[in-house]
Amino acid sequence: MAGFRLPRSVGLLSPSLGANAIFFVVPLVYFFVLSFLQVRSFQVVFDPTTSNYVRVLQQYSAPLASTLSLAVTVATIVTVVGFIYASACRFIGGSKGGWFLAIAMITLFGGYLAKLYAWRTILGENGILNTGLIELGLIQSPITALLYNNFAVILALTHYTLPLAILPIYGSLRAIEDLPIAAARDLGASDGRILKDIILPQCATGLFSAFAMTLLFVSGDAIAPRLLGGTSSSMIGVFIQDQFGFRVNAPMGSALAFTVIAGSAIILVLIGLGGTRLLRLGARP
Amino acid sequence: MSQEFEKLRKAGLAVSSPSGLAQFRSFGLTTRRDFLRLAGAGTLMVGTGLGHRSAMAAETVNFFGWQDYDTALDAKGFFAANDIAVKSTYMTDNNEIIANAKNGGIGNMDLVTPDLLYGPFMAQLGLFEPLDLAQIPNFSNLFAPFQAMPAAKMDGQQFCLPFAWGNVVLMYNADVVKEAPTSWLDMLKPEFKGKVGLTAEMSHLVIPFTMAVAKTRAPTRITKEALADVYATLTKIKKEQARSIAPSFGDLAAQFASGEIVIAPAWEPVSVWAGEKAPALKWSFPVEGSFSFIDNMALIKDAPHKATAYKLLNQSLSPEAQANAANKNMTAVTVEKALPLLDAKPRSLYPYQDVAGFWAARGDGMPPLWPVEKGGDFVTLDDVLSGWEEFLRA
Amino acid sequence: MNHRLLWAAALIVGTFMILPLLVLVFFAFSSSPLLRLPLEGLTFKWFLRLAETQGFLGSLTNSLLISASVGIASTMIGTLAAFGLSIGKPRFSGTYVSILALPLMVPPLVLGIAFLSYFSGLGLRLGLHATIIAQVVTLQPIVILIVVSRLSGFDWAAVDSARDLGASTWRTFIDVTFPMIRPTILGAALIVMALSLDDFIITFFTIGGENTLPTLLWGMMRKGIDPRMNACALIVVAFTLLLGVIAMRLTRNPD
Repeated sequence: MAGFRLPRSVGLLSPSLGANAIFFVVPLVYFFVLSFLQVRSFQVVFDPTTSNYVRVLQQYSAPLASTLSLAVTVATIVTVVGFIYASACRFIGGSKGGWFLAIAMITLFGGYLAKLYAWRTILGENGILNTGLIELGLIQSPITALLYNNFAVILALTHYTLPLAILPIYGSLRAIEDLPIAAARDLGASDGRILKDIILPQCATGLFSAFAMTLLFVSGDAIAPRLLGGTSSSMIGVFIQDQFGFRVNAPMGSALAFTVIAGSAIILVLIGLGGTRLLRLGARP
Repeated sequence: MSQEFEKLRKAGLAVSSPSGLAQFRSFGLTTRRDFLRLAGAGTLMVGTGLGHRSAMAAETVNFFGWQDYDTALDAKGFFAANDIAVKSTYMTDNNEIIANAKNGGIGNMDLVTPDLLYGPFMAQLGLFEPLDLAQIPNFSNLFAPFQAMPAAKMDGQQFCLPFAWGNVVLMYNADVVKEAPTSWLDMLKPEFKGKVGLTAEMSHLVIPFTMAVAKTRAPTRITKEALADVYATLTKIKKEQARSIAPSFGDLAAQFASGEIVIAPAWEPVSVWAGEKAPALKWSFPVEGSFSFIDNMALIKDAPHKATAYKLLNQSLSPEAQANAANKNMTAVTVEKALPLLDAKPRSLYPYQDVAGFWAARGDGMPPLWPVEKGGDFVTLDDVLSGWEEFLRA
Repeated sequence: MNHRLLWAAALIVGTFMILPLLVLVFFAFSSSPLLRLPLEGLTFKWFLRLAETQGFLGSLTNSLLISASVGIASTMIGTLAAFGLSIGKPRFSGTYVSILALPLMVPPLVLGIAFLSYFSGLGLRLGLHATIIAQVVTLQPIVILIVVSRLSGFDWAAVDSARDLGASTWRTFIDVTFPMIRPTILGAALIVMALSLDDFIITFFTIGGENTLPTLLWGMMRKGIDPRMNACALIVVAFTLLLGVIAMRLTRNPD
């Protein structure tokens, strides 16, 4: 009694696709077209060219590379740590697992800006960490290398995106039944084996979602580097804003934005392919 | 079948009745009716957002500008007395005025607060409505230099109303820095290594340092080579002397307060924002010259609520609103009659003994914006912005 | 799984996550405006000052209204889509996911400007509704990703058997499927609400003259260190905790 599935799935998808199409795809297409146009005397003229993209690659490769590499770093850390934490939530017996999950959910809230400021308070020269270490006699003078550099940015962004990542990973872990694991253990399989052959393949979607969400969030972020980063600011968001603002060059801004999108997409495709290879997916239970 | 039943039972869905027959149960709140109720409530909430929100007051105005410039206008209950509701979104950068107005804000925005350095540029882009001074009788309250300021006009029409101002001065921690610095280039001194503050406000760094490095009193008319020198100096300071680039002047105040920096280009209010427990902050006007900012009130083209906006524009130049703004924000007033209404602290920050003289000494007031079009030897705004980006990346 | 190792890891990570929030709470009550130790005294004054801040109440209302609407709408649309993806032909689901997830790939700044241009270009008024629409479009991919992850290993046998026993599609969803994925859906809804509460770039461009809590706080940054931010954050945390607890209670199994 499976019934004819296709129309139903289309029906279910239509609100989402519809909203997407009307309110998202149309303006984005407009900006994509815009990225090939030019600006003369601050007005957009219809003069199609790829020169914007050429300029992007010539002038902005360094910030593009550093933005994307920072994003990949944070995404990797978050996915690994998130997996460990989500596993704890899933496999620790009783209600404690639920408590750990609740802590993750609580951390979700509190505000992005407020959290960034909290990290400044913690990592600053006269911050909690430094004063604490001095009180304990572990160091003589404050460590200045905690704040205003990439370390602080990565730390803060990792902290912010961790709860976001835990959810999808936890979701796919929940879908794994206890039975096959118990059975495998009875048959003498080691923890490592169970991890590799049973758990990881089944939560591949969750892991990928977590990685993707984090990567995209970080590559589009321009605030954390401003508040916590050092004097060397190289996140692309600031430059995009300038193009739409003072430089009154929306085509260039669009070109920058789409290059970032393309870069993130390429990374995600590579990770997706690599991950599939790694986890030997396709062998469905 | 029993295996499925086991699953359903585990899901809490089925129970075995005493007679041994399987029974289904439904959860109290998750019946179809309740779910629909929940969905209905959700739609209602979206609906109230979609519908026209009836304003409590008779007239609304949109405000897109610096925080507390809007609330300052509400001196002596002005809003209530005139039945005005001001809906504000706060900005953090002049950039945002252009980004918003140029990309769809026209026809949607009313009041904005541009800096007079960028005002003419925005006017040239066609973002502003020319102001009908007949509707702004308080215009005559302005100090003479502000009334005359060319940057606020274009083609004989007034586009900006000078509302508040302040100076970019060389601020220092007097507890640590015993001798008052006299030059912008003092920031390069070795004793300040790692203790110099910078902000991300381009004009506040580039213009003073152009005055110091290129030794000119016309800092926005310089050659490419001069600009390169300026950025080289700034990059040197950034790399060797500075702790970080603060995203706002409030942040700078925090850094002064915690002792992380001891010298920085700053505004007078920073000394107050650092708080009562902060070290003594003093400042000097360097010999090469300094630079001021003037924030204005302006009206975006095709503003939807012009009549009400004009009431506020007029109000912004009233002594009460001016004093209110200065007392709240520690900025300087543009209207003479406001001086008696100032608190002691904001009054002490500025050269009020001779405002006219102070501005007259500055020539036309503001340096004009860098040229926006190419032509001639001078660098354009775009060149400066391009160099700024490189500076940030260095 | 070595339970002790897991416990240790979870405790460390959990502490790491909670720490900044504890800092927030701490300094929200600290009497010194400087955010540093040693702590000088405790006070409620930041909360009072926050309440007195003009525009605070309006921002709070806007934030809550937008966040709730966006949460409900995105979760409904997103869950439907996730189901559509799971039961539809696998061949197409990859494409659909990519299209649906596109909003996540665009930097929020560009999204904000895109929505602004679009709405004004169409002559639509800016405002709360515009912000809600923009946020729903941007955030529902997250719901989809989360729910799809949960459904990817979902055991459809229970559903099939309920159908076999004659239950309608709707009934099956309510009584069989939903309870099993309830935590995931609620979690997704809470995430969307959190992100919506936090968003200020997209809000900035689409709200057309109002403030939400984040835009208010962002604007406050100009003047400096403001412990009111911490007080504000604490209020948000408390509020959403409350909402979360209520949500959990409401949809719990009554036995």
